[in-house]
Amino acid sequence: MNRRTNIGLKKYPTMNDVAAAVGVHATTVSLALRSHPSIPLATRTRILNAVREIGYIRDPMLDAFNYHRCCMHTSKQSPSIAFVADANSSPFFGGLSYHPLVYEGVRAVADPQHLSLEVFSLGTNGLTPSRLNTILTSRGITGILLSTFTQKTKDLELDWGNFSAVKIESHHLLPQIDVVSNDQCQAARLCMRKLRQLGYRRIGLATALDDESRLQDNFSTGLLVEQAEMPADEGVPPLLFKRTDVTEIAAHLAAWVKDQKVDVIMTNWSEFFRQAAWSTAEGIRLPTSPPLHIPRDVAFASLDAPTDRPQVAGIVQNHRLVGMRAMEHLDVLVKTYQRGAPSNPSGTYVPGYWRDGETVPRKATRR
Amino acid sequence: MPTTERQPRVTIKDVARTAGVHFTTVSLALRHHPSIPASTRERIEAEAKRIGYTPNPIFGALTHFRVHGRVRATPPRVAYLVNHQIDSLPHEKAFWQGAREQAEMLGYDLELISVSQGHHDSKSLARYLRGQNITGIIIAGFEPGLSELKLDWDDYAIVKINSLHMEPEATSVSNDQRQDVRIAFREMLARGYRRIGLAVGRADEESTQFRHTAGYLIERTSITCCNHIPELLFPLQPTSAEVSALIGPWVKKHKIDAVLCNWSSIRDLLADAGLRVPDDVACACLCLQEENPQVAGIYPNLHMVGIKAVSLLTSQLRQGSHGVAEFASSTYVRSRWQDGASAPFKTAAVAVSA
Repeated sequence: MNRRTNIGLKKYPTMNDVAAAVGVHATTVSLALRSHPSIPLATRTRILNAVREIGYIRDPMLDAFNYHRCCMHTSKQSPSIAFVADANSSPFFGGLSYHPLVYEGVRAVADPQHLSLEVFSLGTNGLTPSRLNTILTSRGITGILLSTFTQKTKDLELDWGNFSAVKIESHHLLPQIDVVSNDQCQAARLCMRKLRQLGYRRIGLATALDDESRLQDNFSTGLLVEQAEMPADEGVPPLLFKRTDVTEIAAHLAAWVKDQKVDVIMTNWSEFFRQAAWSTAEGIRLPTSPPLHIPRDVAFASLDAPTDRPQVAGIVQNHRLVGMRAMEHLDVLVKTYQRGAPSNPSGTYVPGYWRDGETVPRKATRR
Repeated sequence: MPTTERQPRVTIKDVARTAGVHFTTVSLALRHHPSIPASTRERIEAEAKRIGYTPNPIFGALTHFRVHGRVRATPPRVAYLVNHQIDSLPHEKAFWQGAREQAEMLGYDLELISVSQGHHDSKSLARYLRGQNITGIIIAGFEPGLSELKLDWDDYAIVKINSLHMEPEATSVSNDQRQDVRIAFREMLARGYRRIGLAVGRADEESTQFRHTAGYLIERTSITCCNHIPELLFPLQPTSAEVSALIGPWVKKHKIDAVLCNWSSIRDLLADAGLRVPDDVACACLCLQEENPQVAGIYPNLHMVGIKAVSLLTSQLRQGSHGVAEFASSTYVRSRWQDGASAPFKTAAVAVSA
């Protein structure tokens, strides 16, 4: 075929053609197609009709090239994303008000695209939601990541209509917007299956009541789904405790282990052995009276296996990947001007994986 | 800043370096230019294959643009794979419509392909996809018990709608069945029902890793265990008559006062079983397709599920990530409750009969 025959053929329609037909500037067409709030609905409808009539479609190749280009070059003015953390949650993250791995994942996505992140810690230095609202508005920040919030913070009053936002973990926090979290239900299910493979039969879930309501009862749900498949006499009722003093909880725990003949404790709590050191001779000693030795008296599987304790077996949660997914999702919302609470919010769940450890030795088969 | 997640793409220059030739030679060789001896070409092709070089479609498009003043001969295509006819299944159709609209919006050509008897098998499908240069696939609502799929997953960017019973591990999207059941259960409880039963298809449970069951089990913990009712799972590919024949005796045996079911024909199914709704038993549908004042239940946004599936797929294509996901995340879209005549407040019913 002769290449020359192409010349003179009508090119496929572009945004300029749409702009000319409607009588607006090409940039107006661009904004309208991305539902930018500055374009009145009537204008947008007019433009969308023209788009359909003329047959303009976006070019995914140029789109991909643009993505590639954005990663290659620093733009002069890099937009900011607010990473909003809850000062209340700092006791859980070693003094930081956010999970360091989550933050690292967020950075891993934001940095190559030259999005700068600003951390705001609510509740410190007089930072109230209304003050935050003012700061974000005056700095033109429209993207917000809400880091793990504790149960104490029930809602957050910002002018949500002006912001695109994604929550991390905090299902309970209002308003209802898209949330990205670890898949706690999958964590509990996978953990139970591994423990059963290792020979355990009395698997007990111990977790805090407020963790469960913050996480949509996901640990219990996973437990129940797995228990439904198991012999009825092997279903141990979970221990759901109030968040009080660790020694008090440990006492409940010891009594429950004894009453229910629990052979392995499955929990997202690492506080039980935070103070106790691992010793090769006796494993971990839980602060109960009489002391409970792990793994001699009872095995121990963590549902959020800490990175600094390789002896602890259990599920490693992909906190970093949660951060990445949240940032990727927010990026799309910001760029397509999806502001405010959606009519059908979504939840994205990132699975964890099993890690062997000395706290869960393979159980000798009974015979 | 490089990230560990995104491997830098293998370029033509990498091939040139390992083959010990200039990169323009590689370019010519891969296009079978007559100036390159066949032996050199074969060596370069082998090298390109070994280190995993594939042409970058983005730059291909740009070059085309530079030469021809236009980018796109045909829009890039992605495939929407199903293993059964979707015309008769309104919820599958809603997924597809959402996906198609989003693909159109983003400039992709989405092709509906059936992998079932009389259509493609995995082998002919692989051939077809290669021939059409399709590298993105959506595995949409594959039903357990019907045709399966076995492709060389590394060749594709993959997103699933449900289909969790089968490989590969891939990003998945669906409506939030677990939350749907939880909402419906609470609504029925608030209306005064106490013996609430769950009836769903086994296929729907296997393809969602038992998400309806999960929602039901967790809600059930809030009521006394003498009102715990064993759930009813329909067999794979059941007919309406089979479902009716199962549901009637189950309702009577367990003295169920409210049925939660994901079939949109639940009212008719109960009627066929000789049960009057809501006099004998109330019901809530877990997957309402259209506004219907006769039936209460959950109204999922299935359109949005299709939209999200395409968005996730195109962002994978854009970033060049392919194959089986090491940690496949799942996204679930929330639904809303809709009142209806099939689930009146129980106290009101009592007042009328008294």
